[in-house]
Amino acid sequence: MLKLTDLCFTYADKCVIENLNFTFPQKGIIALMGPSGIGKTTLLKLLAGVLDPTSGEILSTYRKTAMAFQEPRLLKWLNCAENINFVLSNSNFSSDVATEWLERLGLSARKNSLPTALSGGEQQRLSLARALAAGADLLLLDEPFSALDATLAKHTAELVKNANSEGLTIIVTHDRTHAEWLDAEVLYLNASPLTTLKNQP
Amino acid sequence: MNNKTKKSLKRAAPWLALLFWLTVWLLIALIFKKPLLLPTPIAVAKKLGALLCTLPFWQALLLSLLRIMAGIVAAIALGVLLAFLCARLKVLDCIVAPLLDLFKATPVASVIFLLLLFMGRNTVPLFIAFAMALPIVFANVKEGLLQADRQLFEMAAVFEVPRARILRGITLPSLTPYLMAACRAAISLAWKAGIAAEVLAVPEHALGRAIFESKQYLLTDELFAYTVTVLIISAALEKATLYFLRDKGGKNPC
Repeated sequence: MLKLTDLCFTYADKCVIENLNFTFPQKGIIALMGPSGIGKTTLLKLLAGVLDPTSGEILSTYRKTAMAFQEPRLLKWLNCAENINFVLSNSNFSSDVATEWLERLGLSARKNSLPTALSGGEQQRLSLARALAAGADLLLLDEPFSALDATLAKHTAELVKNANSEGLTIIVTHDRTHAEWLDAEVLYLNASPLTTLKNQP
Repeated sequence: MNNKTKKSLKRAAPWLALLFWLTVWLLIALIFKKPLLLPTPIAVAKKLGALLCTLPFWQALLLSLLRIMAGIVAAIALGVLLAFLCARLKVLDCIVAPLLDLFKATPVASVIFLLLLFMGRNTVPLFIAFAMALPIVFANVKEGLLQADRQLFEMAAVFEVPRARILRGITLPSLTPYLMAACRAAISLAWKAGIAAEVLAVPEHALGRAIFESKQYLLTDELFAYTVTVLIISAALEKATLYFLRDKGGKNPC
């Protein structure tokens, strides 16, 4: 369960989220959509625990959280496989996991390359591979297809759709097509400060 | 000029520069013909060759190295520890930082004479090397910790990466360039200050004492030979440290 109770978040004297109450479904894929600057990334970071709420509560019963950030946040001194291995817990650590996800995301030839040698799209796929490989049941993805071309984005969306079937995946996107590829339930954020999450057919 | 020639020239440039200045030195020495004030590089090389065959030279070299390196190693260890603590605890930083600034600003000679009042002449060079290196290591490592990419730590926190792995995978590789810069500056400064302390404190078996005695007896070629030794050791220490740190930086922490 992922439940927000009277959630408030203020950043630099600006109230971004105010008394937000919402309970996410136990499993499935949710797409957060809305205009730029409305607070989608802020909400995702609050759910990940990167930001602390100003007041209110986030109750999560998920075992493990993983996130693909808007910027790749890769360790530039480690190669691609090592970047994935870095986040694997000791219980699910296996060098095959990194190899497998790199292959699925079309990066197997780049296994031993440093992130600085990758293109922007490849870095984003590596960041996504890291999140998917972590074996999390709460998967948070912040615009994971923004640097990918349509064909690659569709292929990657297919992987995301099947990666966390037993858990909850929340994705921030500006593109409705991405939500459709993922069969995601769309929550629309359109008021500032954010007070409600509305379902969008 | 092709690339191969350019590369060879680039590699040879420092040696060519050294050869140029040795020639200048030789010419000046030959023109003035005052070996008591300025011996030729050939005379210095001969003297150095002769010294290399004597036991007191090696005793002095080894003990100077041991004393000063002990001070530098202690400064690196304490500097890194203090930097970690002060980067986290602002109160401690407020207390420690001004003291280390004072260390940096105080003239080395004053510190040497002050320390001679409190401790034996054999330990003064060690403390001088320590006092010279500590503020540099502290300031650089603290800066490295403050400049480390916060976003990487946030990422590691989301994935619940264990602390030891974060230290090896993010903190230490982020610190490596700062620690390298600190070691580079601290080692050459501490080595030179340590030798200066040996000149003033005249401990037993020390390069600084040998320099002092050479000057006292006007053995200028010997004075130059010991000075060249100090320079060679300084360069070798710097190279060795950088090689070691470069080798250690950014290894797979998993």
